[in-house]
Amino acid sequence: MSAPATRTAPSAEACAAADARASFDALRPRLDALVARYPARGAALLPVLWEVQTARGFVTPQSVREIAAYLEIPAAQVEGVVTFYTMFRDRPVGREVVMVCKTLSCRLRGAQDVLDALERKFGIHLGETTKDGRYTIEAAECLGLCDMAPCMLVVDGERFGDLDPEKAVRILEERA
Amino acid sequence: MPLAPRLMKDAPPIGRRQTHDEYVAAGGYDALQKALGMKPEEITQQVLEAGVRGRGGAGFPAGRKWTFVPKNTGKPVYLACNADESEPGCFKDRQIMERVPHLLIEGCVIACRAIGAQSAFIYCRGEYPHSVRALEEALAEARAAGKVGNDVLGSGWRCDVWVHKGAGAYICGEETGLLSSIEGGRGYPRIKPPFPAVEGLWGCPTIINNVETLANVPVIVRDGVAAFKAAGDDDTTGTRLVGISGHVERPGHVEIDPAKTTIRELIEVHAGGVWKGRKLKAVIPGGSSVPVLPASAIDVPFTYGAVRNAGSLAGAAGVIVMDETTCMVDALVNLMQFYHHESCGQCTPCREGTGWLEKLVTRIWKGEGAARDIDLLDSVADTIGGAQAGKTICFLADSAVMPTKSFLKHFRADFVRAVEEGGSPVWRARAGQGARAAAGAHG
Ligand SMILES: Cc1cc2nc3c(=O)[nH]c(=O)nc-3n(C[C@H](O)[C@H](O)[C@H](O)COP(=O)(O)O)c2cc1C
Ligand code: SF4
Ligand code: FES
Repeated sequence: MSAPATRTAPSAEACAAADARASFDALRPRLDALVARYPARGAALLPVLWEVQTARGFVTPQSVREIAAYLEIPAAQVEGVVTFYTMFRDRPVGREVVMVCKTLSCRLRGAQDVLDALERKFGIHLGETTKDGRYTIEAAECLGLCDMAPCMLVVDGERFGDLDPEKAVRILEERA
Repeated sequence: MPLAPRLMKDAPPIGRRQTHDEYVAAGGYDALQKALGMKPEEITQQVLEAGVRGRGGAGFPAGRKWTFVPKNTGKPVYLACNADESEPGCFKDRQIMERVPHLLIEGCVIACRAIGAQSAFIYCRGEYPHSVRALEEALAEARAAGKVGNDVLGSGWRCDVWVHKGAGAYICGEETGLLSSIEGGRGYPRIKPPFPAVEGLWGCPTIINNVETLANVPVIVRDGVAAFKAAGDDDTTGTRLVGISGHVERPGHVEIDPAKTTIRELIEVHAGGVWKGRKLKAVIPGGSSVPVLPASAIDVPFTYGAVRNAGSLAGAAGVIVMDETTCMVDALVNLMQFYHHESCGQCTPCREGTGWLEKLVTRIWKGEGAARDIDLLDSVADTIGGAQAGKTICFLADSAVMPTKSFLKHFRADFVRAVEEGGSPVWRARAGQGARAAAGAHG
């Protein structure tokens, strides 16, 4: 559902730029505190991925290697986890990811019109990034905000409800 | 019937979190103090007598589950709080975490005491950053105040509680998928037995309970069993937090006495009625995985037994309301996309079967279906689960079957019409508009 239209590997430049945003060593103190919560190092994989992804924008091939070495687990496990969970990214995304709910309670109150309007307004397909690199907009399954339907979540930011096409477009434009 | 709320008794307005000091001023953490003076078995016994059933959907009695933890294995015991809340139509746990997080934290610590655990992990879905933040802040307060940590209330007993944030996968709400995810893997469910109470996290005894289940624990310990049982009936004890969404005037949540509140009252009294003055067509009472009910079946109290007798399940108390204009084919396409997308793919009947259900119902939705496809849909559902349940590792497959079978049972006419009239009215309207690939987000 949220898979981007193209699955080409991220460019070397994009990866280098992401890696340059935060060195793994700079993240280590925070990661050490996370690892200490679990009786097994590997269990910290999800929280560590969250930290690294937040710092670098997406999980680069170098991040996979660094995390695997740090947690003493196979790189394949890190890759397997990144591809399993929809909120982990192995390629560049917009500066913010917008998840727009498409599931039943939202659909009943007009989610499809909101999704259509966002595609039209920003000239992208769902799952893609706006031309200015600001937003990746994707259709999401139930966000647990059914009381605010139709709704959207700007990941790790705000959430918005009672949307209609105009309101959704306006919110994203005005956040700039 | 008005009810003095319990879980949400002192909850601040939506959008604000109750602080540690506010919680304490309202009698919070008194139950923990009391529990520390009890033997662990006494706490379990109270929870058992209170009869509180799991609020995560399956309704298993919490006290009984706790007694399954084997004694003297020499292994640590863990508590995992299920805060994944990914079932479409459900948003009740979010209310607890964001408004009264200390109630949940106190419940976790008391539960740890009862089962002999010293670490609890609250598994909160990645789509709930606000809940994660509220829990983290409350946990920091609780640690500073000695309610959590190395020396709980000066007793010398250590109890840690951590939030483990998911990253978008419905299947991590299934209890063994949740364990896989806490251990740092894909959220793959595991074959039972062994049951988690015997072999869970890192091969150690682990109790998994829903947020609302654990939030009830301080209430039971504080007020006592009799007071707890004053709400509900013999089978469904205590209050229930219910979310109401879809075609109602005021979507929202409410804490009810399940024995004294009918599904009709949930819709008409608590949610302001069906929106736009329209008539009711259908209700899914317990979150998207339970059978749908026709409008004629909603005059039943919201107890496990009464909703089951009416032909559905109270499940995780996410009431989804559909008005007379709803095309049930369109609603089912939407749900089948969900289950197909969320199948973890380990079991062939589930991975392939949910794909077939989606494909068949989409065919009917688009007007490409024949009359026999309706029967085929029904028989594919039977092949995956339903009458022949138990062919898969977890219940996700059956969660797709229950809506399918019940939609066909009660609303077959909508499917027949879609076949005869060239598709669902929703599809035809979109095709008429010439919208980009008329399937839109369906594509
Ligand atoms: C596919 C699937 C998804 C589930 N999702 C959740 C969930 O999001 N939250 C939850 O509490 N229980 C969920 N459950 C139920 C759990 O497996 C488990 O029964 C529950 O967490 C136990 O806690 P309780 O006894 O306190 O309800 C799910 C079950 C299945 C089969
Ligand atoms: S039933 Fe479906 S979701 Fe559950 S383990 Fe099997 S494939 Fe995965
Ligand atoms: S269906 Fe959209 S938030 Fe639940």
